[in-house]
Amino acid sequence: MTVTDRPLERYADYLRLLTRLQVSGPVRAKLDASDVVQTALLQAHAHRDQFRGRSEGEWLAWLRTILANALNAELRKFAAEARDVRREQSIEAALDQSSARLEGMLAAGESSPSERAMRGEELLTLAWAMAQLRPDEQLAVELHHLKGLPVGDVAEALGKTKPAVAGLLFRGLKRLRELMTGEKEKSLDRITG
Amino acid sequence: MKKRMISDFCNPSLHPVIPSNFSLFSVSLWLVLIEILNPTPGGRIMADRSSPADAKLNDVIVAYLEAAEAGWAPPAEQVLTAYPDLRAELAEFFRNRDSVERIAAPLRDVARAAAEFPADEPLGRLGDFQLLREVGRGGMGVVYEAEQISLRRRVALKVLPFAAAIDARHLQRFRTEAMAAANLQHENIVPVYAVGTERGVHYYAMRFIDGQSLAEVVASRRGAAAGPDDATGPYLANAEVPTVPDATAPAPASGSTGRELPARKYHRWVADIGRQAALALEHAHQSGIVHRDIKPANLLLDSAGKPWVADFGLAQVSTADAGLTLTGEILGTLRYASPEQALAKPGLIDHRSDVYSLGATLYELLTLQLMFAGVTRLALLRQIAESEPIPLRQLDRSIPAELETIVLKAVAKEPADRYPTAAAFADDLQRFLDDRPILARRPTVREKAVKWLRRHPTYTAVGVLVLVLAAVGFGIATALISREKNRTESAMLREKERANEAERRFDLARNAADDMIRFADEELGSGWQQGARRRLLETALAYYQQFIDLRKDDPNAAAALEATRVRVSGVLADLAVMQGANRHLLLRRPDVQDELRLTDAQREQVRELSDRIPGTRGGPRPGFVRMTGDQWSRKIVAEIRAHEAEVTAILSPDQLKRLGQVALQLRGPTALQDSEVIAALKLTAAQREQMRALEAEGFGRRPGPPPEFGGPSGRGFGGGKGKGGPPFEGFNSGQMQKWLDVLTAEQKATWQAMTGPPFHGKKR
Repeated sequence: MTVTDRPLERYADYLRLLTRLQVSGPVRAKLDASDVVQTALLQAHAHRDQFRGRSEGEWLAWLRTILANALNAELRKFAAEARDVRREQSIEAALDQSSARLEGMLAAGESSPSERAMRGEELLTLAWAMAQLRPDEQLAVELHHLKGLPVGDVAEALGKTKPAVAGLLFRGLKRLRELMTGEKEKSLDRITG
Repeated sequence: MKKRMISDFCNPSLHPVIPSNFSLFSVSLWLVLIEILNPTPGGRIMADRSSPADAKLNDVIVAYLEAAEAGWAPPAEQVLTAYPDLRAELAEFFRNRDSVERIAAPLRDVARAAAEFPADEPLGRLGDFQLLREVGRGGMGVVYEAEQISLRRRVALKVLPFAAAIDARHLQRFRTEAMAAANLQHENIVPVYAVGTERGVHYYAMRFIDGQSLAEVVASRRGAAAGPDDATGPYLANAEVPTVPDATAPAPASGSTGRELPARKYHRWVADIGRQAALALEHAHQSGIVHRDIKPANLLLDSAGKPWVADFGLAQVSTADAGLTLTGEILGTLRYASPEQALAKPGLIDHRSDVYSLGATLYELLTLQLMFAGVTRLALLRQIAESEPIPLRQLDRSIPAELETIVLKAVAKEPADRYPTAAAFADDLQRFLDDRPILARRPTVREKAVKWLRRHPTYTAVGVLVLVLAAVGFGIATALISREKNRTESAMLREKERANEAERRFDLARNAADDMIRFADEELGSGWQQGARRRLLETALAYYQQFIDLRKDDPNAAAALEATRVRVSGVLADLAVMQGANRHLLLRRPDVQDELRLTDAQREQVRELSDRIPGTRGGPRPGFVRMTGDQWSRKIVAEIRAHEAEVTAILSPDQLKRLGQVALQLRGPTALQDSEVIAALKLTAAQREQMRALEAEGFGRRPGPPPEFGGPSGRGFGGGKGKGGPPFEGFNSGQMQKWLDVLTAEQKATWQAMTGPPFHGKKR
């Protein structure tokens, strides 16, 4: 079985996580990550015969390219809709930045093949596990660990105190690790069917 | 402070470097920090379904994470040890955190790198620029060698990180500065060609300098530093340009003989690079542009060895965004930041910050070591703010002393102590290169003492300072004397080297003594420290006597020394007169008049005298305002002498004697430090030492100035009333007794004779 034969749903969590990481601020509130991911997965499915690689890493990179296109299209739609000048600037800034970030993500696949494969596997698992968390825990972990925000900024973004964020991180990380270790095989089996 | 957009904020600090020597001290500091970080009880309530134990756990986690964000997280084990009751939970937290971070960190880094530059086409086009190759990368962005397509010229294209450039106001400032920098025309400033934005990417195009940065020079020389004689580093081949001297790059070693050590050549080469960079900076400063980020990496050498100052106008970006301040790149920049920059005193940052940073750069070029090597931001900040750099010659004896002096002046903590301009810096380097005397001089003992005094304004312990200065002088003199003795004993074995060494030590000792004199005159010249001044001068005088004895074979030197000795003796004589004046001022006090049993006629005469020569009160009298300390002293001394003559005429010899006794008594312990009293009592050095200790102890206890001269307003010629009067009543008898206990029985008897029966003046 080649990588392209795997069910695309397996990658949904991962792509959703990536999407959430790319957009923020005013855009984040309006954009439904699931929609974008759905679009990307549909496109991937439609064009899977154009995929020239073999490894999982290459497959992930390919998916990311498609996601980047889908996301950029979606973001442009927003920018076009929001012709209101006050907003335009911030959305365009976010767009520039998002595209820069996404393109960086694409470059991420350029390490050694084994490394790539491992990272791909781990990222998929992490993304899946993240999706299982309670929403506030998920957001805290995402902002702090994936976006690298300091605790103080996470607290501000969530409208909570710093100790409360610490509590979310504590419980979120605990749950993540349980999911990623103990239930990893089971869960992957479940996803891959 | 602007509110950061979450998306812009990429914090790379979650994996702080933990210094291996993380000490217990830091841990306790960290524990204290927990208290500081969470001062509000309100913060502890919020956690959902929190028990008290949860609340404490959350507080500890917050403190740990914030410490980590600040770059100095303690090792996990130490946290566990510090909180035994939360050990299990914390251990679990660290374990979980590690396993998630292992995956998340690379992802985060990728996102960060992407934020610096879109790497879509590995090396594509950016507007008018075709990127050719990446030549450097860091927190400040990526530098590419590129071709400006429309003009077909090679440029260095610096692409700025998004995070730093995102704030519109900030970006505007960057542009303004970059435009200004683009107008700088100087042979040693890298020309800026363009500043612009393309697809949200901010870039800065400048002339491409084909060569290397001084950071690379340091690295290669450090790598090649097999020995001090090895100066054939790869860059020197370029830099020396032995065949074709370039008119724009004057050959540094004009006085070179070719037989010099390569190390010497290198030092001169560094001085010349520094000189050219300083001139370039001066040019920018004249245009009102401060570089703010001078460091080895920003000084480039082209293939002809000519230095270029790069990155003008970019410092705005590097220091602006808090999200970037913790990257290694910024730490690297911080290394060369002046104290006023490091302490973020924006109002104080001027062109002298550049002087400092260039000095720090030269320091590193010369010693091949970082001036401050702190590995964490905090440690580095502390070093920049507080530590004096290790003198260069302690790291490498082959560095010329003049060059050391120049560099150390440039990196003085206080901007006012540095070269006032980059041009002055360049000039002094030129003087060094021309083998002319440089203008910079090392801080003297006196200057160090003055600075110390300024840093401790509330300190009244001038006496302690006197001890320190005296100890310095004494130590040097002792070494000097034993050295001279050795010289005469085995003169045959002494080479020129040793003679020079002795000469240097002699100069050092003499400078120390001169410093003491200057300190006494300039810092203690007026005010209440006259006793301290007098003792300082007496100490210096004693050294001068020794110097004169040592130099008696050299008439010229002896004459110069004698002139100083005479001058100091004169000052001391005046001081003695001023101190003696106290005695006569006492005469105005009714209780003293009673004690002396003055007749009514005598009292009338005293009153008349007081009216005629009024005492100074609350500072110099109007006519004295424009006088220097010296003039003022002379005037006072003249008045006191006149006064004294009249008093002597009024009183009978017995009354005069009793007045002297009362004055001695009222002066309290300090009377025992007068040279006359010391001579009369034949105090030993050990006894004087004991008294100094008692004095230092006394200063520590009492908030006011020492008693002689009646406090700040007394000015040596104060009236007899109020707080300006003799304050010795402040000394209790027990304290005086301590001093008297130092004396032998015989000395006590002499003291008794000098002071007479106890005087019980009216308490006021």
